[in-house]
Amino acid sequence: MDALVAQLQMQYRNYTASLYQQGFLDDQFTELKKLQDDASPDFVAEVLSLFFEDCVKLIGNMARALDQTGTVDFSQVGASVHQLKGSSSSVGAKRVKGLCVTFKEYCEANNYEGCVRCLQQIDIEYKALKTKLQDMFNLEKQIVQAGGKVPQVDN
Amino acid sequence: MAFSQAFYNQNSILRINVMVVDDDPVFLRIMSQRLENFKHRDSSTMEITVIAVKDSREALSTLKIERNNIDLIVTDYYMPDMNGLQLKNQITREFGNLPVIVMSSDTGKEHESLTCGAMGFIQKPIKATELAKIYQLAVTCKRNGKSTLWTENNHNDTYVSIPQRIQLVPEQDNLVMTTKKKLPRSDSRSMNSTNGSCVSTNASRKNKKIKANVGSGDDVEALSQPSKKSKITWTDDLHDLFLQAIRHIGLDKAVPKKILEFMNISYLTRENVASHLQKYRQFLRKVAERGSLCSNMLPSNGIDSTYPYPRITEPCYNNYTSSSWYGTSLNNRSCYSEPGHGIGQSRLLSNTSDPVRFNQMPHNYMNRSSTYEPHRLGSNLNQPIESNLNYSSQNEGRRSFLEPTANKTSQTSQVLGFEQNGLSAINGSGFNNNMLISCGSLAPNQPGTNSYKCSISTQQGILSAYGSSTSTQPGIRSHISLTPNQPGRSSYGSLTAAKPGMSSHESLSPNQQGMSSYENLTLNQPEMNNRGSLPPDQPQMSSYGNLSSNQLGLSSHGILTPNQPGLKIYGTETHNAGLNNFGSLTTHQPGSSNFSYGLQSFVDNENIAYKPQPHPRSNATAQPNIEIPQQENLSLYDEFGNINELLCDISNFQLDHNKQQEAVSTTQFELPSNFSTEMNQLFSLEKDDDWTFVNTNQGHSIGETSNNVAPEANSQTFNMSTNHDQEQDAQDFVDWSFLNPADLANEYDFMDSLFNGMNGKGFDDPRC
Repeated sequence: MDALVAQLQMQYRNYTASLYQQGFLDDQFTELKKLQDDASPDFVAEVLSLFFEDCVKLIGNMARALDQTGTVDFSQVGASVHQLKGSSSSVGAKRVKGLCVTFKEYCEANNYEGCVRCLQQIDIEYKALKTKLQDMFNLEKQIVQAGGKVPQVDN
Repeated sequence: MAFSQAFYNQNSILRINVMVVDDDPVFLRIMSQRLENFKHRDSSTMEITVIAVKDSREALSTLKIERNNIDLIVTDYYMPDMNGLQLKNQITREFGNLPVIVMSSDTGKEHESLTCGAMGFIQKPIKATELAKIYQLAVTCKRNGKSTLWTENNHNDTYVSIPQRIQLVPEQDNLVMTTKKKLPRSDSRSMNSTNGSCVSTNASRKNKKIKANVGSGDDVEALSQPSKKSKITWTDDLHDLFLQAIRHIGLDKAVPKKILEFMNISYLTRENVASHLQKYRQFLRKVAERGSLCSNMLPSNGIDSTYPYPRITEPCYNNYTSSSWYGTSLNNRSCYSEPGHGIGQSRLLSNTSDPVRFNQMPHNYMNRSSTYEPHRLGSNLNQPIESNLNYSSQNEGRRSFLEPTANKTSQTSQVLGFEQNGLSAINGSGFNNNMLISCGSLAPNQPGTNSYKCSISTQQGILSAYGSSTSTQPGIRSHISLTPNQPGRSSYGSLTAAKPGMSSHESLSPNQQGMSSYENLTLNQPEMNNRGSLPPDQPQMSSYGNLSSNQLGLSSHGILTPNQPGLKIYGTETHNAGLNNFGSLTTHQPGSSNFSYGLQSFVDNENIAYKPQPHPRSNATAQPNIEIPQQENLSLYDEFGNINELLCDISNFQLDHNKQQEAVSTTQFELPSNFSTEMNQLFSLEKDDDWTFVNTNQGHSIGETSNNVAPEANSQTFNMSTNHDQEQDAQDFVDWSFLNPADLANEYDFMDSLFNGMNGKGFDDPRC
């Protein structure tokens, strides 16, 4: 079993490191992980769930705002983008946050196409992150099930 | 955190409820977790409970329900519906002065937030270090100790260090606000309350009210008293005001509610006042006890031993009081100086810019065993009061509560032969007994003093009593009692400031001689800040608790330090040159005397030949060899002539002006053989290097400005600034606790030694 644990742990480490390297995650995520302890063992999972739900909601808002026939209310779009930006930076979703910044600029410039493009990218991005994080969590589960401890990967 | 730990004892856990408002659920969850996690790190000294709400409406309704349970509010800026600042203003409107911290990823909102009265601004994402600051702020707010948070002193406290992002509103704003608030009453008070102390203490509160431009158009509302008890720092000014209130109301009738009303300070709660009043009463009791104790110890040559308190039957008291005491005609009596005109008197009369020389008094006084100041109150100042009348004129500019007018004199009449009862007599209002009354006020000789509080200055000898202060010179603010001008005996609580800048707190010291007893402070020349006692002007004697410093910064603690050289006695700071005595009185010049209690020593002098005793510490506890000739002669009137002599005796103190602190610190005070003459000199404001007490004998007439101790005369450089800085230490004395029993004990020991001829009694420097 130890070999399995060790192997899983190595896998985990590598995987997590790659997420950081590829820019999916940043320091805030590390901080987030630190907040998890025995008192709140599912803290990170909880927060990430909230985040993804938020993503869905906000992206929906943006899509609706952009999809208006007639004049697009960019400020409304911008407000949603701002929120998303906040959330993503809180969890350490680096790529998503980067996109939000760009998105915001387009909103301010009232650049419809730019906004639409950004919206699409954000949609793809958050879903990708979600998948990756799910894989990471699965690995963690396996490690725990195998009797090991989840290694700390600080990027 | 050290802070919280310091604040709470080991066993108590500080529980803080923080409400976090943010429309971002992710952030909310994370923030809650972070804040709550903090408690784990802090070794369970503090526990934070977070109430998370997702919008402003919910925040307000939560507040309505949980108003008293919420210690701190942290809110996001950008929120739909009502933004963070609008929320903050609404909170202030509805719930009063609650601390609100605003967050945003947008740093541009920082200034706006702060000017609106937010307690701080934090940039998102929130770093761990900044979280710590929130934590600290939360603790501070919880304590309601916003004063500490906002005082200038604390401004840079590490525990409330201001991170780049969390900023507190600039002091100016606070000041501005506070000032406005205080306007109505500030005139009547001597308090320069818009000064930093008051302001800063409440800056935070007021701050919240400050509303800068920001859009919402909310008005700054008057601060509402928070429901929580606030931790108040009793600054000098605040204490002054307190004493004023007591003086006005009367100590026996003083109840927190009335005091609070009188003081009219918005940030002060009844509880603050109540606890302060309690401490004050304890202080008075202590003083009284000490006085009696001392008196017991004092040899009783000629002293009426039946009196529980040292009595200052000596005329000297009378003399002394003259200037300072309003009523006490004593001043006129020149016990001290020239026959015929009380030193005090002359000073008083002259009052001009010269600080009243306090000198005289102490000696005579001192000789009396009973010089214990506190007791003095009501001591037998039998001196006629007549001279007092003069004072009133001198008090121009002084703002004292008590009018020094003639009525005082009438009061003083009692003095003659009055035995003092010590504190009982004083009590703010009533002095009546011989002593000077003063309750509350004392006549400052010079302008600018404000005396406050009742002072009782016993007439000549007895130094002021309680609460009042006289100030001879301008700028003195005395707080309680005051001391006679001349001899500065000041007793308790009052302060005399002979010259400018003195602010004594509790007691006062005579002008010249600055004897100040207990708590007073005398300041003759430069600004002395005494807290507990006061030192006489010239010589600064400051006794207990304070210090007087006329020239030099004497700061004494419990003792009175004579003039010139900065005798510092006990616990006080002395300024100028400084003798630093703790617990003992050292007179600079003339052989230092151990004055433990300031007056005591003088009294002792009378009765005992002081031998200069080397004081282990720098405090010279040498006992002045003051031979006071007529101790027995209690009648003031007679004393006049005698008094002078007595004073002279006292002047045996070798206040070696030249001897600076160093000398003093060596603790050798030699009392000159002819103490009396020296004393006279002391009392007379002579300026020469060899500083002696003001030389009332030297022809200072009543009309003269007695305060010769003006710096100019004094060759010694008086560093007001340094002293003053030292004085600032007086803030240490804000708390009565400096008169802790341990200190008292020391003094008693001292007295013992004095009387028993022990040598080298060392006082423990309470400040060490």
